[in-house]
Amino acid sequence: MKPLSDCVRICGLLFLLLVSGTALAQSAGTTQSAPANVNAPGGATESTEQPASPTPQPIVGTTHYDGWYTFNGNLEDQKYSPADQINPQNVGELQKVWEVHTGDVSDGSGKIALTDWSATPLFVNDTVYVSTPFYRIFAIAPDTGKVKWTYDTHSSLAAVTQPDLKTRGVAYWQAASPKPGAACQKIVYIGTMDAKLHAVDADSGKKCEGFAKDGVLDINQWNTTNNKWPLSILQPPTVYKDTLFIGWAGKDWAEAEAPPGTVFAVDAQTGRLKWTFDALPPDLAKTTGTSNVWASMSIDPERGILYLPVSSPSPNFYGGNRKEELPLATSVTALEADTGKLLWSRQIVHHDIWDYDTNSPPVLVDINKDGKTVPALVQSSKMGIFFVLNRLTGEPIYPIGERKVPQTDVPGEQSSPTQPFAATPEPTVPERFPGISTLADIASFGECSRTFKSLRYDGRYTPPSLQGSLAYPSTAGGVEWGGGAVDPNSGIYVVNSSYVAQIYKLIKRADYEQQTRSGTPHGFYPQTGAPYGFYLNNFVNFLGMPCWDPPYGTLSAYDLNSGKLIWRKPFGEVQKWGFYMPKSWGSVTIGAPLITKSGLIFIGASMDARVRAIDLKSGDEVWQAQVDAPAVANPATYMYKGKQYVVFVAGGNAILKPQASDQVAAFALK
Amino acid sequence: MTANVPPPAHRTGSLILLVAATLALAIAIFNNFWSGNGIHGTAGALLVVVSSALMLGAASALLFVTRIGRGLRSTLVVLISLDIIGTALAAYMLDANWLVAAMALALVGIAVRLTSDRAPTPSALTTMAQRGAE
Repeated sequence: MKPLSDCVRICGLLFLLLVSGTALAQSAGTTQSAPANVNAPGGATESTEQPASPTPQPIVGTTHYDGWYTFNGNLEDQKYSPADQINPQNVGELQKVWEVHTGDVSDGSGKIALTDWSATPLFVNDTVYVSTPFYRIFAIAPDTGKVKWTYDTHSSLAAVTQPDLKTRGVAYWQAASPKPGAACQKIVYIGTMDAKLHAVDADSGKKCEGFAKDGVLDINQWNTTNNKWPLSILQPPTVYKDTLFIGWAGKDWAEAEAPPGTVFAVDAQTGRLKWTFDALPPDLAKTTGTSNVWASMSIDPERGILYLPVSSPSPNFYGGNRKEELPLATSVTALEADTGKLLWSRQIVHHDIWDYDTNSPPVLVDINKDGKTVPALVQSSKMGIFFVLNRLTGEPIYPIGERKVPQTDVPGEQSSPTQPFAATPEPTVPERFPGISTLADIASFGECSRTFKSLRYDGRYTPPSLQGSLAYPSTAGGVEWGGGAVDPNSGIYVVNSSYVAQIYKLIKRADYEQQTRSGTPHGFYPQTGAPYGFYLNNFVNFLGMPCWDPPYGTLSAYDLNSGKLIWRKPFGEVQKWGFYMPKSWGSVTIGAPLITKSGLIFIGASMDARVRAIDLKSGDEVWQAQVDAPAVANPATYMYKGKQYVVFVAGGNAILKPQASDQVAAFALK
Repeated sequence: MTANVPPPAHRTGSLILLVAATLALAIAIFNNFWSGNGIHGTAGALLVVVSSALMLGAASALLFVTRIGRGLRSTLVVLISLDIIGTALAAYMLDANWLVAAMALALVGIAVRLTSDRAPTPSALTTMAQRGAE
């Protein structure tokens, strides 16, 4: 039974539809934006480059700093804080204590592209560090919000590989025993869309001249195969001991042959290349590409293992040019951090033709299974399926089977007969398309039903087709790049998930050229070099209303020790033209939650530009605040001078709605 | 022209309506331009600015314009009632609670007017008294 408030909102929606003749509902975001991503080969290569001089001093690596020191809070990507000052009883008293407006924002109406700001603020070295989509670093006092210094990369503000200007944050390294008074013993790194990695002294904001060339490492110097666009450093490097592990993003859906997705390990002080890793075999690197690592990696610091979420090969929606086995593509892969040596890899999608990149950080946690402590890894996915593995071996902790899936009818394509499937923990996205939304169908005079009947839909993994296929879940997720959070003490894992149906259609090259002759319409992507171009769009009616039944987004909590779902609730609210849709619909989300020891979840992520606290036990919302745009960045929390702060970056993301801001907002108890 | 002068209860109802519409317009304008509320600058926020402004205009006409025929007056009341319902629904969906409250006040104004329609008006009472005297 729907709550009364939902009924009133639905009635209101109908009333306004009648009055205005226009739709007020949308959900999945009608703005289609290609997710950041690109490519990768089949093994590690030790660098033959000579170390830059002077040779760095051997440093016993510090792996755990105090604070929220990585993109995911810690190296294990747990997004967990032991802070407990703010708890479910007092969280209602949480107030904004400072905010910073960086000025680095664009609504896309001028010469500068729209900004998508997804930067996790770091708290380390008694400072909050955050990068902006104009590729500047802000160093902020953690208690007052006073800006200590800024650093400008002077990067070109051209969206060369992405539809919008993006950054997901900075990385931090410090020497095990920093020399007093010496510069660059603590370094903050910022990447740019044009493939530059800058190293900046964390105390002064001055460039570290000893790093690469005058403090800037040009990643594109290694872009030597299918160099069609720069290797964009949007995800901050992963830092372990004195090494930076660098993945990158590229231009999706554009080329059949793209740069292979090499991961680079470089010295944190000098920028010297230590080793590289490629998920694609060298002999196929030229004819395909991508399988890169564009999302966050994780580290088992005790064992020195690096975990990579490897994305799909190119082109994304047609695999006729890559029928060979590519076992490391769309996988979670473990490497020896010191050498890049492959330890194990588990493919989560065979012959990926849905752009189901492994897009979220592998979360590392020890779980209690049958009375034994098991070193586990949780890999969430765009399919909404969770793969819980032994992180030392890659073997499943909860069963993973091979399931027969629908087969392609596209000439030249050869789809995989089976796909990996894990029933435990219960996937977030249901097995079947939830059905046509009656409201959207009526409002569009049956357009949704007619379109559905014209599409091919045979359940999960329905392949792209010439007639048009319904993809549910689609490349929009499922779980997006934020991934989940885990309480390492209880083994409770929390994750937000979206429910988005999209239309995938391959278009014969000649027809594609004809249809795009006078410009590229919305939703058309060339896949240049492949025999087919591609059309992708959300399954919405002419009013922009989603044609499928809600919910459009949920938040779920699982007990990893048993694999059982504890609760799942619609999360966030869809907002269109300012109007909030029923809470039971939930919202498509981007970004991730964090968990505190006191039993709270903090999360932005939703379309409605609100940030929330959720009770970990019940899943009930216990606090919310309005911010200036959807807070799609992962939040951070930290203790400073006896007070706990929760910081959100409210920057917006065009996939949710075209609203951008430059706000960093910190909340604390007064 | 005694018939065109609103009776006191009508005037009270219209006055409440006028105050409610004025408040609603002020709240709607504030919501449309204050950047911290999640709805500023949206089509929905602008819609309730317009609907509140129309309500204010109509309420002013009811209160201050005496040369309005009974039919037109009734039509205005019906349109204002629809405006109140629509604005209240829109305000609810905008999570603009103060605007919902203003619409509740406007409904009170309409209710007072309608109630006074059913009660004998002072002029009618005067006529009845005169007839009784005869």
